[in-house]
Amino acid sequence: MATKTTTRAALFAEMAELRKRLVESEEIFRAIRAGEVDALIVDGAEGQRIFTLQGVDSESNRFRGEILAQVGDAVCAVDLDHRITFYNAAAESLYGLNAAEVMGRYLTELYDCRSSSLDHATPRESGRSRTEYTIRTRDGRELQVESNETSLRDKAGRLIGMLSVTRDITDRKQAETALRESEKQLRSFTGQLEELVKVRTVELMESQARLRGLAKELNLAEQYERKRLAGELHDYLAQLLVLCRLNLGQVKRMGLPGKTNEIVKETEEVLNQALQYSRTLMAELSPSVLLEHGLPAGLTWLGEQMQRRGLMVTVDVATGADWWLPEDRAILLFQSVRELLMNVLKHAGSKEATVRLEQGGGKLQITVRDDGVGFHCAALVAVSSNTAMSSKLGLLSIRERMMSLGGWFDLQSVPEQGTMATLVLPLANLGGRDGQTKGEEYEVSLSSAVPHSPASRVLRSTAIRVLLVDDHAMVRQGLRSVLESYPDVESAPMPAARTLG
Amino acid sequence: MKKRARAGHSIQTFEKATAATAHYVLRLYVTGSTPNSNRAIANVRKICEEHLLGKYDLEVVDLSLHPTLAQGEQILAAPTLIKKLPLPLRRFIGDMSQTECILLGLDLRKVD
Repeated sequence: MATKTTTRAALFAEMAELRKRLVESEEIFRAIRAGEVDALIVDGAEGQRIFTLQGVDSESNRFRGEILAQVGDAVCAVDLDHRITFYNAAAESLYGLNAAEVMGRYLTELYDCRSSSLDHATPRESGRSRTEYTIRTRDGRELQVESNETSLRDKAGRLIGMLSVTRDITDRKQAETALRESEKQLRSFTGQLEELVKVRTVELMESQARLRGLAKELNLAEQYERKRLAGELHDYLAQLLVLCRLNLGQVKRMGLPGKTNEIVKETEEVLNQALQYSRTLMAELSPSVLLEHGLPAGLTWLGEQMQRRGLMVTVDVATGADWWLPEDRAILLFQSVRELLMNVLKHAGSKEATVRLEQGGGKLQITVRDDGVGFHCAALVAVSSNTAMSSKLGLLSIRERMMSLGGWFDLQSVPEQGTMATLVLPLANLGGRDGQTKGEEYEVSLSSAVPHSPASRVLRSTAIRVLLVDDHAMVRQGLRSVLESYPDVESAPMPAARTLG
Repeated sequence: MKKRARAGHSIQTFEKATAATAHYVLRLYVTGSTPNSNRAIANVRKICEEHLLGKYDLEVVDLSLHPTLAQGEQILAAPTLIKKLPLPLRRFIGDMSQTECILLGLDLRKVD
């Protein structure tokens, strides 16, 4: 009986189990038909095996799901109740919670929204929106995020939720803030720098103006000194030499013994050389040809002087121009050209140079060119030898002097291709010829009347009255003493030499 | 027979009576992050929070990551939700969108 009861009980239990399995099987079939099942798990000889169910729709869904799962931005879908229905790997990284923890939970459980309400996470009828806000994650990180929300609809077009694609822009925002701060500082620094540059520029211009003023003063002082030295040579040394020669002439006429006469002649020769040298020196210090005949003649004379030193200078003067210049400018140009030609002589290694003088466009231009060794203009800045430094200072002096007169100086050179220096002086505002200071004029005339001159020979047959004209009393006295040795000559002084015109 | 029927009825009554206060232990088996899996998780979570707040443990098991965890549980399809406690053990198949059926199966709804 007990066995029979057990059997009946077992049968009921088995029947109940079978019913339960039937229900479950029907449930599985229903779910499969409804497309709610992803996989079937089957026990086999090799253990459990999982068979996934993938139709065309599920394949495309899987594909789309795979894409959303793999994208680098946090993708999160919520239903109409704000419950999370999709959550990819990037979302796990962003919010610090894994999918199993958050699926089906409310979106608000992912984070605290710091800078806006959760309106951005509310599914809405209108299609898309983009928002930026600050969140604090459950693990305490504060992040700035940018979120693009899109409404989700079923096949019938009914709103069923919202998909948000969220990106961490904390680094970008911090970088932007740092950049703005940096730009602000840069603007501040730039403003300070500009102000400093303005101050320094003013100081520099003042300094340059002072330098040019000094250069002008230096030029005037040099001209004054040159004139003074030339004057000293002319008024004293040259007169003394002339007087010595006159006296020697008198001595020679006394009829000296042979040896003494020879010594006197030699002495006279030395005196002639000394006189010639003093005249050359006077000319170099303050070239009379420049002052009396103008710049072209002065430069031509300079060329001849340079030729004596071994540099063949061709002076080329443009025709049809008025070359009158105020004396200070003429002297400045003359001295500058002389400095440039001396540089050619010392550094260029060339035996030839050309000087071109021309006018045009209200400017006077002088070009000094040679075909010597040339140099790198940049290297001129770094010169260290004394000779080169001297030349560099000379060029700097030329530049400053030219600029002090409103002109400019340009130097172009290429190694092995020679050098070309250009001096440009504006011709405007030079003032008239009458404006020239007469006080700067001086005469270098020296009339050394000697008995052996042809004129004196012609006049010897009659009584002659000689008017002594010289601006130096010493010379007049010397001449008078010479003339007194001639009985038919009467000499008379005339102090106002210039009245003869 | 009547006694047995009454006994069976009394067990059901007891289970229903305890369901109101029992702690639920649920395990949801899914395969990867598929739409059905995601929906199933979301739906189960929603049901639990609306009807079992504070008295449930839900464990989500991804069979694509841990296939051996299905052994011994007689899992035939995924997603499957198993109510382990309170007894009796119940299984639900699909994306858990049929909320009423699940509430009935969890003894959280009276049969009309």
